[in-house]
Amino acid sequence: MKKRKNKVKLSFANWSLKAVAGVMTVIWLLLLLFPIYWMIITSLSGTGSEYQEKVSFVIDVPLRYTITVDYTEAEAKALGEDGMYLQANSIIWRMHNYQQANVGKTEVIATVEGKQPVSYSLSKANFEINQEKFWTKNILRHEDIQRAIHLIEERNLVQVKEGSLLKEGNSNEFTEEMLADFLEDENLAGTITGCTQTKSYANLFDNYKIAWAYPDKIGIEGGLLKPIMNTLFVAVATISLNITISSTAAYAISKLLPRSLKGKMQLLIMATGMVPPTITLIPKYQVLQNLGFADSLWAIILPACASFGAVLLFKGTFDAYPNEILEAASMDGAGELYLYFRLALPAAKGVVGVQILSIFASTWNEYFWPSMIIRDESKYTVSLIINYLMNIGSANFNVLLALGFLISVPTLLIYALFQKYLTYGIDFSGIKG
Amino acid sequence: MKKQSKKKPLRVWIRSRSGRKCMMGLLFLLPLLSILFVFQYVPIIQCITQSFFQYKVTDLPGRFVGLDNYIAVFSSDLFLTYLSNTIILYLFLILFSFFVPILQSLMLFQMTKTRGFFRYMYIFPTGITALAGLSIWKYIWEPEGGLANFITSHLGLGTHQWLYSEELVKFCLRFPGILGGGMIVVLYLVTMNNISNEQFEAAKIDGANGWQIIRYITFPGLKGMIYIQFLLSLTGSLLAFEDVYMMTQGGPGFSSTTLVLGAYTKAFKEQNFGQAMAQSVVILIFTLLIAGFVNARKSKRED
Repeated sequence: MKKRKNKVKLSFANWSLKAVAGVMTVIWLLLLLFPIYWMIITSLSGTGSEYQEKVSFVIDVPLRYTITVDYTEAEAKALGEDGMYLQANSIIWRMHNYQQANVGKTEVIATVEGKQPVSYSLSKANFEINQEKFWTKNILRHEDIQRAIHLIEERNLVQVKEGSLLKEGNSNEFTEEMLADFLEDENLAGTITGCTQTKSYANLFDNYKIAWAYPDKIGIEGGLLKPIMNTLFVAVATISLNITISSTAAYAISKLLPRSLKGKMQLLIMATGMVPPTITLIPKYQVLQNLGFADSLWAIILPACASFGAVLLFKGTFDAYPNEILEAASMDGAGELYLYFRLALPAAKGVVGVQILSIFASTWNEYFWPSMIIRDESKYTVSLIINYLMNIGSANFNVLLALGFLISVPTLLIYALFQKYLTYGIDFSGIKG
Repeated sequence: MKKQSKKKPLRVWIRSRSGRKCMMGLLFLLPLLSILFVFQYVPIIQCITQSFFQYKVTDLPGRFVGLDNYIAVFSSDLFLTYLSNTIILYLFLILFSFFVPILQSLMLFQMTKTRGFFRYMYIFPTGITALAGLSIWKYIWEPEGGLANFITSHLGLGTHQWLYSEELVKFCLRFPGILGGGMIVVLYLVTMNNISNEQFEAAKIDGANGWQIIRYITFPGLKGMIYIQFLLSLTGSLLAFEDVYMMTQGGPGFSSTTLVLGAYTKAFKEQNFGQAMAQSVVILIFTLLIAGFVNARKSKRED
C-alpha cells in the first residue's frame, strides 16, 4: 500500500484556508452522518409513520400506559383468576390497538377493593408480531379476545406479575373515558380508577424485535436468521469460487500460457468488462431460467463467480512474482499445482483479503438481481426482506429502519475495521492512473 | 515458444515442459472462461439476436422481424420520455453529486493532522446497506411525517408530495448525493497525494499562499481525474435504474422511468422481449461510444 508523505504539504495552508477547510469538513461530516443518526433515532422511537405527524430529532421514548381496574370482592370471586386474566387482556389489546400515540407497553393493574394488585402487561413487540396472526380487524371486541385467549396464554404474550404497585405518571383522562365506555358497552365487571403514562425505556428496542420477527409474517420460519444464513451461504460460496476461479485464471495468463495465447485470452476476458451488467440483466435471467437455476441461490452465486476486475488484481500480483523462483522449484520436481498453491497464491494473500471483504460487502448489498430471480420466500436474502417491507409490505418506517440498521451492522463493521483493504483497489488504480 | 513447438510433433510438445505448462494453463482458465461464456457472452449474443425477433414463448426464437423492433423503439413517444428522464436525472446528478466530493477532498487535503480521522468518517456511511440507505431517504421524503416537509413548512415553503410528484421526483432521487463522501473522496485524495512534492515546494518558495496553491497546483493536478470521473458518471447515469426502481418503480406515471428501466418494464410487464432487447442494444451502443471516448482520453493522458 501507498506510503504517505504529506508532512511537507501541510505547512502551505494559511490560516484562512485552514479555517474554511475545517469548518466545511465538519459541517459536511455532520450532514453525512445525519441520515445514520436519523435512522437510529427513528428505529428506537415509538409509532409508525401512519399515525405520526410530528418530527422529532431526539429519541421519542415509548410510553407505558397503566390502567387500574378495581373489582369488588363479589366480582372478583365471580370472575376467578381466569376471568380476570381474560378481562385484563380485553382491555390491554383493545387499548393497544386504539391508542395512536407512542405506545411501548400497556399494562392493566387489577385490584380487589384497592388491594392485592396484579399486573398484566403487553409489550409493543408482542402486540405487533402477533396481532395480525390472531385477528385481521381493526376494532377488537371482547368476543374476539375470548376466541384467541388460549393462543395468548400458550405463547405467554402477556406478562402477569403479582404485587405490582402503581407507578406515578401523567394521567390520561381521554383513554380512561374510552375504556370506561368500553367496559360498559361489553357489560364487563370492574371500574376503571385511573390511567397514567410514563416513559418505558425497557421497550426502546421493540422495533428491533419486531424487525427480527418480521420474516415470520411472510412465512419464513425462524425470523431473520434464515435470510441471514442464506446471505452468508451466498457470500461464502461466491467468495471461495470467485477467488479460486479468478486466481487460477490470472496465474495461467501470467505464468503458464505461451505469449501468443496470453494476449488473446486477456482480450477475451477484458472484453466482458466493456458490457455493463445492467444490459445483460434480462437475457441473463432467461439463460439462468433455461439452465434451471431460476429461484435458486446459485443464480446469485454463479454470475458473480467470474469478474475481470478480480483477474486483473491477481494478475498484477502474479506478474510481480519472480519467474526464477518458480523455475527453480520446477527443476526440483514440483508440479504446477504445487507451484500455484504453495508459492504463487500465498504471495497474493493481500489480494485474497481484499477480495473476501469486497465480495462480502457487495453480496450483502446486492438487491436488484436477487429480487429479480428469487421468488421463493425461504430463499430470501437479507436485502430481499427489506425490499419486501419497503415495497410490498406495509411500510412502518420505524420497523423498516430498525431492520435496515440491523442488517447494516455487518457491513458497517467491515467498513469500520477493514477500511484500508477496501480502499486498496482505489489506491492500486490511483498509483497506476 | 510457439515456433519451437511447431517444429516438434504435437505429441512431443505436449510432453515437454512448455507444452505441459500450456495445457495446465488452459485447464486453469477453463472455469473462468466457461462462466464468462455462459453469463456474459451468451446473454449479449442473445440480446442482439432477440432484438431482431418478435418474442413468443411458444415458438422460440419467434418471428424474424428485422429492424422492426428498433423502429418501434425509436418511434414510441415513451422513448423520448425515457431519454429526457435519463438526461434530467443525469443533470441533477452532476449538479448535486459531482462537485461535492471534489470540494470535500480539496478541503480534506488541507487538514493535515486530522485527515486520517475525517477520511475514515467520510467512508463510514458507505457501510449502511444500499437498500437501508434508500429507505432512510424514502422516509425523509414521506409527505406525512417526513423530514423534508417538516423543514420546508418551517421555512415557509409549504408542503410537497416529493416522490409522489411528477415535477419533484427526479430532484428527490438525486438530491441525497449532496452529502458526498464515500470512496470517490478517497480516489481524489489519492490522486492529490500523487502530485509531486517538488511542485508544492516550488510554489512555497515563490511565496504562494494556500488558496493559490489550490488554484494553481492541486486543482490542475486533479483535473485529469475529474474529467475521467465526469465521463464515467455519464455511463453510470445512462445505466442507472436500480435505485430509481426501488424508490419509485419509475413512477409516478413514467416520470422517473429511465432508459434501462423502460427496457426492464417492457420485458417483464409487457412481455415484449424483442423491443426490450432492441432498447438494450441502443443503450449498449451509447455506452460503448462513451467508453471508447473515455479510453481514448485515458491513453492520451498516459502518453
